[in-house]
Amino acid sequence: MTKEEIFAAWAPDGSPWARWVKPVLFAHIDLAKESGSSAGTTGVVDWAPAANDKVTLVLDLPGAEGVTTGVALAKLGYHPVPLYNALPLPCLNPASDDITGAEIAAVEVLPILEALKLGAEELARVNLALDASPAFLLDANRSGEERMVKACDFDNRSISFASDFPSATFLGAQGIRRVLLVQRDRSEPRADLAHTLRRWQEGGLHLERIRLDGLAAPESFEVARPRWYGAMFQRVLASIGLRRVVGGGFGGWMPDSSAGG
Amino acid sequence: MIKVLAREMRGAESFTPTLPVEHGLRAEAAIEADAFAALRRSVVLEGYKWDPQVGDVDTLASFPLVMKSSAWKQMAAQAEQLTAEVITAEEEILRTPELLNMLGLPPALRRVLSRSTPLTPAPGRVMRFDFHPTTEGWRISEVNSDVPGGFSEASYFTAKMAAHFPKLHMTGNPGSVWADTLAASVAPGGVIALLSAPAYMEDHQVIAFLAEQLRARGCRVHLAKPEQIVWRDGYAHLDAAWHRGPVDALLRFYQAEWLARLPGRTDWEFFFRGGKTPVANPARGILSESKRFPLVWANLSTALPTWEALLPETCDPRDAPWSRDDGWLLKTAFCNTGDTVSIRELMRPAQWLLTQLDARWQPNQWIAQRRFESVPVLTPVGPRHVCVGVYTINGRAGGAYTRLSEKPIIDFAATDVALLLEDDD
Repeated sequence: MTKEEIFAAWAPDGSPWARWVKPVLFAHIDLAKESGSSAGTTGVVDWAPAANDKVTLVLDLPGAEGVTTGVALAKLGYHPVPLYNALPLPCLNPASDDITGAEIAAVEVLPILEALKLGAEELARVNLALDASPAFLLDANRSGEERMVKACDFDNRSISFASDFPSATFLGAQGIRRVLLVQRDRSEPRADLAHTLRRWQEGGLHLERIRLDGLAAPESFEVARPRWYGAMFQRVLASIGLRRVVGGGFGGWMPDSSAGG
Repeated sequence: MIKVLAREMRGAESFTPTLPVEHGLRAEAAIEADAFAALRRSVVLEGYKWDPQVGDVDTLASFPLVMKSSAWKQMAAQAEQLTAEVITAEEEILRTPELLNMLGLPPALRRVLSRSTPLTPAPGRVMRFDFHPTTEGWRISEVNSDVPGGFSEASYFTAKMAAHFPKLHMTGNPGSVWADTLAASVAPGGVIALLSAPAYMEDHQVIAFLAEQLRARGCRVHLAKPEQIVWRDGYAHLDAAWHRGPVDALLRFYQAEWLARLPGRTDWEFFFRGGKTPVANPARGILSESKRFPLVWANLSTALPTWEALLPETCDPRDAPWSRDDGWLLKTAFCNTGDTVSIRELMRPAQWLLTQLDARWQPNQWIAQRRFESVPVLTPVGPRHVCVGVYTINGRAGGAYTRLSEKPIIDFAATDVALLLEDDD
């Protein structure tokens, strides 16, 4: 499949959710190996509500697991919407350090990219209904928590913003009243995602959550008001604690929403 | 204050172009939905436009704005004149360090700029002046003088839209011209590091687009963050896992006041003074990037007649009746994407209260500016406020980054629109 065909499989014309698909990994799809590490894996989705229940799913799962689960959900009648928003590599550089052989990216997204490529072939065989409910796909490793980020790493950590999602109003207009947060090994939403969920909660959507490690059953929950919630510069303040301090760890102050004008 | 046109057009099929003659600007009809879907795919997959959706807002307009060539020539000439005036003013400010105190700069940056160490050289200079159609004609709200963005939208997206309108043509290709300038500053095969802050895709896409342009011109390019630059004897080296060694030039999409907040051990001051590796934009850009730049004019011998004619009256917040007169707005000294432009009637009461408190608590970080009455342009999706950002590259006008908004404020959620030119009758 061409790059355009792969993107179109995930963001088909006519779908109300296609415009939210984040394009950056698709723009780099040529970096995908022919046989990715996720080949042959299949997401287990026996926990999922019926597609006609009009539930929005938010899959905050590590690495390529979100993609494989999303493809499995597509077969149940959901529209998986990739929201992966990290550059894989600094331009055309190799993925590993010439000297140490270590991965150079703070967050390993190449497996996600490869899974998207493989998943497109399966999605092309699924006739996504235009009224399918969305399943938003996030990388639970996006903040680089899974490994110590070194000063020389390519810093491709990312943040999920409320503006990455449709509003509660838009979801409601599509007949959606419930949201199910799906995580592997935690119950509380990550700090950045909490802003989105809180807005949806205030917009009248009912929030539920489930852990895929089987330690907790699906349950309703409420998101407490996140720190800095509703501040004028939510995009600014959400990034506090995510910018790496040169000496290691986190806590740098990112003082604005974007560098450029 | 908002002049709303009585008739709101919602569908391209029912759209009849109108001509707001006084500004030489109109909207064309939208291109066919299938054609625009294909164009959009191309722009996001090949054109480095990675934020085409912000919340419920589609940030790419499916129709172009059209300007008379004569109107563009006048606007371009004004942008070039504004550039010439600001360059002269910056030089005078650098010779008069006490004026730096008026600009709201971080103290550490002010100290570095006050030194006599030679300025770090620059491979070129790009600025973008934001023009708005108002009841008094075209006016500017600011210059993006430090790290202007929008190159992909102004170049790739606009070129794709222009292909659908053979009788219209582009205002220029700022991405290409800026890349030509940067590439010419290094030897063939030269190494250029492009710097941005982690986690901001809207910034990554700017440098990734320029990196592709530079690579096409034979440069070796690396994306990095400023902390990965090591300065040795004034020369910049990239110390990253994928490249360790000297670089021939630096392009930063990382604003100057952020650099000044990096730890001292990063030697960030070499970006401004004492460096021997060229850095774009140069340090002096921060002087006019400050929205408090107009506050120093009275202390300059430099004449700024074009600025005075086009920029609304601008004051220290202590010198303007903004709290009781809605004819004024507030913005911070370093308001980069329009997100601190504060107009009472467009804000929630709690937001306005916080803004008032901050402006009173640290007035040196704010300005008060007289509002102009933005005239919306009738488009296929209804009346929209327009901001035409005119680039100058080394003093010459080189294209435009144009945005639309339902509100008379252009911020990060505005819609990008191609600006095309038509011949005068």
